[in-house]
Amino acid sequence: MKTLKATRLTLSLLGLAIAGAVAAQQPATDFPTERTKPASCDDFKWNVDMTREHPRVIDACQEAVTADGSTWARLAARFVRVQSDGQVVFSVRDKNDRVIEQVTMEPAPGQVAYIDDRATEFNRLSTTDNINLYVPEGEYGYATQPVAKARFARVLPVVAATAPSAESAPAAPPVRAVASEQPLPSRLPATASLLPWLAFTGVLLMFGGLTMRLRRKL
Amino acid sequence: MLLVMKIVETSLWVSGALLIALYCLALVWGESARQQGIAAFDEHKQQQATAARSSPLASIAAARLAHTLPASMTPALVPQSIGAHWSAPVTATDADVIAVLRIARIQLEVPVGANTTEPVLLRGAGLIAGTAAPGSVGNVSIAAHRDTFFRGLKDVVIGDLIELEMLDRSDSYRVAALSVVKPTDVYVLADTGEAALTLVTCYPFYFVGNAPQRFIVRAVANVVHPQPPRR
Repeated sequence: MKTLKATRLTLSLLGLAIAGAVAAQQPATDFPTERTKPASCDDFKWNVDMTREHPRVIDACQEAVTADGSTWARLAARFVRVQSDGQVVFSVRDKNDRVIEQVTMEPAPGQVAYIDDRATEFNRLSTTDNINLYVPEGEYGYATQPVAKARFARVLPVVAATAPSAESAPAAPPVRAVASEQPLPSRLPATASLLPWLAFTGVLLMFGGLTMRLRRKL
Repeated sequence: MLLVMKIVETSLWVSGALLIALYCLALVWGESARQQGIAAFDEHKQQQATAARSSPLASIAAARLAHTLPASMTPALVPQSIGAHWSAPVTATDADVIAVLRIARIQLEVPVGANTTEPVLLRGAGLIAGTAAPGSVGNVSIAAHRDTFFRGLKDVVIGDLIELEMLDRSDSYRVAALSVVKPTDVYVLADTGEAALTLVTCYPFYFVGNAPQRFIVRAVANVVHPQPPRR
């Protein structure tokens, strides 16, 4: 009787272990099964509207990848910030890590960024985080993963200066101010004040007075 | 002869003591001006908060007034004419404080003026002309005297947090690089397309007169704390 119980227990545990091992072997449904097949950026077909509004995006293409039967252009981007309205700003970079352009995007509901395949909410990114953005062939938008059911962030156009209507309450003050129109100076500013000269000259004069007194005494 | 020597000696002692006293007075005045600048900034900030509570339209006006940015630095999103009061461009004067710079680890707290003229640099730090305005995405570049307010930069290390407080928000930066460059190396002020803060002062730190090099602290945006939405 005891042997039968022990056998049943052993078989149950063995079954559980096998089931667990099989389940662990199932591919994660969130990740593409084929995401690194090399293709060429030259062959990638860009969305016409995207290239018209962001012509330099073509220069930002790192590689074209085929995943889940569709082709994606992979772009390298660095997180800049999340704005108070939830829009995310990224700087898109070329192969030499030079900034191509800065894009503001409106993430789709539930969309997250991926750093080393780890899902990370946009507001948890830091300004040193580099992420991949994927542009599906022929479409206008960014995904953070090259998967068929990817959510697309809407690329926002550059906001032009428009005067609000009298009724509309102004939003937050200038958070997206642009750089000054003044040219950069030709030299870095000299930041030495006259104060050390004052002290230095004062000490020298007093030293001269001391010297004279010593000479007079000797 | 002895009398002449005595007179010369006395005048040397007196003028030396006067110069050193002047130096000490200037230091005390500079510290006082720094504190006054920060107090004026805080007062402006409170005025703006009061204006925001009373009228949202007034708040943007107060923000603009408080920013006191030169016309050339007027942000694109700020309308040029919201009512009669704002049709003329607002220009900054030497006395205006547009931000307060803080580096807690080295106990630095200094008001930031709108330019780098001598009157501004005697009171605190100044925004370098042609660089991005505080609160913008570009490269905000700030200079100050290395023998007064920015002497503490010699103790800054990579990773230090820098806070730039403006009237409507506070931006945080983390020191990413320290370098020594020539005065002609203005590339350090160039916009790299991302939010950055560059602090400039003379180098070597202990040098009498115009130093031959510049010490650069480069920081990148850490966290942005936008003002909560107004009702």
